[in-house]
Amino acid sequence: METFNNLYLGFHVALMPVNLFFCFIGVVIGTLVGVLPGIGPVGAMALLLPATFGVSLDSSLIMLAGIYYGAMYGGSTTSILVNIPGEAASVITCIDGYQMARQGRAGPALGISAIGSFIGGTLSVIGLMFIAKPLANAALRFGPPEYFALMCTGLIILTYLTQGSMIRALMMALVGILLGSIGLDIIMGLPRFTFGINELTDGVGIIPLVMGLFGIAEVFSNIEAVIKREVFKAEIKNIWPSLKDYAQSKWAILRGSVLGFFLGILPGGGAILASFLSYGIEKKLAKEPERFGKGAIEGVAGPETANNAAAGGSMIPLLSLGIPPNVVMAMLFSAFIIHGVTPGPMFMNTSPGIFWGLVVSMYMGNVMLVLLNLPLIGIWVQVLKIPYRILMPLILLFCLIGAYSVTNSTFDVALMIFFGGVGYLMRKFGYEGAPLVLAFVMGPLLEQNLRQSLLISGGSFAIFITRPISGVTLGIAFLLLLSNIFPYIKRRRQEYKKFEE
Amino acid sequence: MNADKAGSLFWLLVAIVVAVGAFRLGLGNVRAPGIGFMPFGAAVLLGLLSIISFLRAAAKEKALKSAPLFRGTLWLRVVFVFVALLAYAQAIPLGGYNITTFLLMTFLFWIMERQKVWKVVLYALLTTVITYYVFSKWLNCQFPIGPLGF
Repeated sequence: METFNNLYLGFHVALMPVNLFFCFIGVVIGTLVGVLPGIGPVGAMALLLPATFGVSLDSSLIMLAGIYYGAMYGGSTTSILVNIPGEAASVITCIDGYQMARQGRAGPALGISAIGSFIGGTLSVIGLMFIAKPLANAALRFGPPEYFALMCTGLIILTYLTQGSMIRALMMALVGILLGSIGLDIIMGLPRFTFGINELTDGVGIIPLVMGLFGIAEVFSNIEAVIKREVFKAEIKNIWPSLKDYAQSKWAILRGSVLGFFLGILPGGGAILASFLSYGIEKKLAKEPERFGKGAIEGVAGPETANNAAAGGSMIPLLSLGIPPNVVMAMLFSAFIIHGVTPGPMFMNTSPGIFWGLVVSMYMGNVMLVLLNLPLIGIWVQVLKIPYRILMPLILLFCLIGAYSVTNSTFDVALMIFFGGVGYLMRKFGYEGAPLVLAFVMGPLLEQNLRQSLLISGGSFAIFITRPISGVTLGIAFLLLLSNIFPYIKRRRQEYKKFEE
Repeated sequence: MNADKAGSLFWLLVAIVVAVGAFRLGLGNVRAPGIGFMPFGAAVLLGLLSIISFLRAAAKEKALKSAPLFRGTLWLRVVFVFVALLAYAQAIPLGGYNITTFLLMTFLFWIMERQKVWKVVLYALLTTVITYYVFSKWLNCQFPIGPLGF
């Protein structure tokens, strides 16, 4: 009964005209950034975060969440039609989606992608409704050591699941913590690493950092290469998949929903991992795995469903524990903080309208996305035709305006450009930005909980091991670190043996 | 020196500088950690990981010859754009939004692809005027005003 009352409250908030408007704006912008290679959901959220200062928290969260799951929808369009993923979570869709388009089946590929995304998104929202509350109640018993352990483990899982080297990802997480420590110390209020620059007293802003690392750096990476895009010229006649397509895709969609939802909850997991794993599972379970890579519809349905389901799942740690599991959720976390609200176990009880309004708006957003993506697919294809020579300067200008409008300070603009250069070099040298941003956001909380834990324990680090939840959590983190070291030692031993022989 | 080794050395240098800075701020003790406690710990860990990364890169270097990172790319274009953006950040309080943005956009449209001059100027003018009206008049952003009053 309580769930229905909460849902009623959620519908009341989400159906307010202003919130419907912001939800629509969010999903449109999300689809747009998903379709356009060059700026992802993180960059778009950073760009629009300043625009939400003047609106209420529920409206801004609804819009920012809409950008995220909208980008998951939109990303598939470029993967299928151009063989260039508009968004990292749609990389795997290129394999079979583009092949389907080449065989004249671009319509059903786009159709099943939108339908799967809708089902995955909706099921994950239902999961969110039922899991978030019990988890938040459990989290009420957490103290600083448990939070410290959870955040450390979250960061280690993120670095473990990263695409490149785990050591480099850990290094970036530490750089993020160091950047997060710039500004006034959270306990004593003394300036730290500000180098006498007044603007740094409040710390490095999340917006210049994220826009630089994800917006400007992306443009730099694009303009150093000569890219020619060719939109698939075949006419998209029928977007509705056939009965055979549905029969082939139904289990892939269901599996993708469950997998995406649970991987979304996992720190660092999120949409990218969910889509890759879903593809792998579908290929493994298929009766004719040789069809994969040649236009198998399950290869589109599974990953596209999984990446949207992950979008809902990743809300759970943020809303119930107050810990953002990935970089997109870190942006939502920033929106909470900007509006003076701390997400976490108490959030659902103190602000039920915002929580349930956000949940219900995701239903609304999913319906809007189906309407936007199926009948209006032709418009999104036209958007794809915007040439790079026009698109890239525009993205740069929007980033400049976005960074300036936060504090009306050119210092933030210069800082963003600096991080753009750093981000570009990081990409060149194989360092990822996601662990850095997540650690940057979590850094102050991590430090606060570490110092509070040490104050409680009278300076004993044993507090992190003797308390069951933090002990188990840190144990998992330790095992993950070991699991990465053992294969290396084994390989070195084998090499040594070979050398001896 | 390959890119992996250079990257590791760079982060090692950053770690040393931060560790020294954090030490000067005051580490406190474990009962009452000081303001440099956490950054010092993070910097030490960063330094250790940089050394591991450097050693791994050195071990791999013998087996693998990596291609230069910037060969075959238009990296000079990135440098020009980077410098232009920094110049824009410095010039906007003096020149105002409209003049500096028009100049920047003219440069950006021109450097992305060689086009006819009138096209470049038209694109730059349209972008400047449209963004000025959308952000300044509609969304109430406070853009700097130039010497000509706009």
